[in-house]
Amino acid sequence: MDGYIGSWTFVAQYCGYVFLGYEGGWTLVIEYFFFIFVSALGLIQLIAAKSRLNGISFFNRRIWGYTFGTAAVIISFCCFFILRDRSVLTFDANQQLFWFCLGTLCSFLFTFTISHLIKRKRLKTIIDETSGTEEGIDKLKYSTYWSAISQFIKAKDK
Amino acid sequence: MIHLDESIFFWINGLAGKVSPIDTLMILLAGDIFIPILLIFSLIAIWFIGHDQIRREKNQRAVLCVLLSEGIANLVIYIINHSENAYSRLRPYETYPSQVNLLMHPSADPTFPSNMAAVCFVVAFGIWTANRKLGLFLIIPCILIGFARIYVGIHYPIDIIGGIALAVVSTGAAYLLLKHLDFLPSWFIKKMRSLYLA
Repeated sequence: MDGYIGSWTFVAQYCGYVFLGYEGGWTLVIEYFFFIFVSALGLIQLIAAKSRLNGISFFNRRIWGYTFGTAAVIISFCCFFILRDRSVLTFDANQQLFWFCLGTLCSFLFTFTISHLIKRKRLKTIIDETSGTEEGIDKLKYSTYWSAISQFIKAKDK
Repeated sequence: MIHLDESIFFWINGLAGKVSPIDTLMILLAGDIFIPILLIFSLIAIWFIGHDQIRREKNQRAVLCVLLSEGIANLVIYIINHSENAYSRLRPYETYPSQVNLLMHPSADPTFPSNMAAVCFVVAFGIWTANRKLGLFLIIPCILIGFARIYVGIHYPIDIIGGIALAVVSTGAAYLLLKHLDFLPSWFIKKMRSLYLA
């Protein structure tokens, strides 16, 4: 069993070295990914609260969006920089860009999905009333992201 | 000029190693993550925030201008670094290994111009084209990162000034380019709007 785990650890370390050029393997990558993921999650909630985008907010009251967003950003930054000494970071700019984009993308997809599950029923009646009146991001004031996309696809099919 | 540059460098770098909390703060500010991530997050926020569609579109055009400027700045730095007649100057800690207080990991890239300064100032200048107040506000962290990188011993002041000059030129070039090719940002924003992302 130990040999099995050991060989997988070796593969993970090797992949980390090959794809990332970093001998520390996946530890830094995972920490960086979650740092970006959580802080972007907080940022999206702050944006949703500020722009009144109810469809991508996890909360019904804006004050909770501001609180959650601010806490997520501060906590993720504190955890990432306090956890280890980042002055010896050997992260290439291209690798950073890749993991930043991936972390942010995952954060957006996670937000769209969770907010859809929470707000789908609540916003459903409003969608029917405002259908077609809003365009672009303003649509997310009255509809979840996935509902808006499915409406868009249905309208295109017609 | 070089003498003055080195004098300023040693004055600033001479402050390092005296007060430990300030050293820690400067290492944080000079790093590749803290300020760059804050600047990129401000770009994402600017893309989505705006009182109305017109204001938001202006912000989105500024974000596209920043992205194009980043491309131009990085291309110019790449050409400078790989050109045969490139202006090559060793990093301060390489030229004066025993005199420089090096607080960060050494870098393999050439010292001039400062890539980090260029990348950060491009964000501030690009945003300034759409929102004067926010653009000026974003210059503060950019100045801090420039100062911090001299403090930790990895750049001369002239490298930072070179980075700022490059940021000005690349932002100007991107701004003019997008003004002449207006259909490109318009098309992109329209596509993003149809996906409810703009």
